Amino acid sequence: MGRWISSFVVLLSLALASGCDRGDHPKNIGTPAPNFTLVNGKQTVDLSSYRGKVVVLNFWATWCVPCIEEIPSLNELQRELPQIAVVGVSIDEDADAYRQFLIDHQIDFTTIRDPERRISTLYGTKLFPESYVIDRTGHLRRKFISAQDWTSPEIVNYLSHL
Amino acid sequence: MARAAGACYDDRMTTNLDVLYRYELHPSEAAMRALGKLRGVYGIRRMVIDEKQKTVLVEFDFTRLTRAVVAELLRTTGLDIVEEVPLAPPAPPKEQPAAATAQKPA
Repeated sequence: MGRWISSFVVLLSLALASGCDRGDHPKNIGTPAPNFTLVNGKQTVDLSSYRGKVVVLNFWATWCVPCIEEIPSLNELQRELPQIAVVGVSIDEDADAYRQFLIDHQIDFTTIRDPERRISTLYGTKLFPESYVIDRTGHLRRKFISAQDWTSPEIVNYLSHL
Repeated sequence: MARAAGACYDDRMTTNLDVLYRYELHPSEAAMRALGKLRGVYGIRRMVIDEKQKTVLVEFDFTRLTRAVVAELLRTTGLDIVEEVPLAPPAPPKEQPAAATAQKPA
């Protein structure tokens, strides 16, 4: 009986030690955020230029309805906390659709198009929307998957105390 | 099928729902490409297009998305959605009480 229990404990330990990533604490949290400089037309976004500011890096697309749904709350967040920088990176391949979207919708934060998905790949993002919080020192602090209410007291409180 | 990153993703942990839509016109090549992109949206688990029945079945995580968002996602692809097709079979008619159906002797 004791041997069975020992075997079970060993197997359980192995299972727990196998490093299952359930998504609640992604591997890259706490590490330096991958730096990037993205040039799209006349626009350039250089992540290192935001050093000293908290950055909310949001990956989105015009065809992604949940991404569009969180834009008003990202606008609101940027208005409410002007000391942080909300940076959107769109993976739209269609430049015209992206341009038209920016004309039709009010976006109060910096956004740039990355049709080759270079930056999202760099961050390991394959599903959208997905956002990362980068602290003043350039370290990844938190990853948000799927659409969020960025005006929720929990998020605003978290970001304003970083 | 697109999946969230993570080595131990378990289907039993999600809250999936199937929804079936009927479309009228066969999707264009652009619409098919756009449908393919939808697999990159959080909460979309699976999409099956039945060209004979002109239907698209979408399996989604209802803790992340709603039916309305799924329908909107499909419409943004240019797919000519006509209606949502109920997946549950219609409830069988209630049986009449024996007394009501039994014929009275002449």
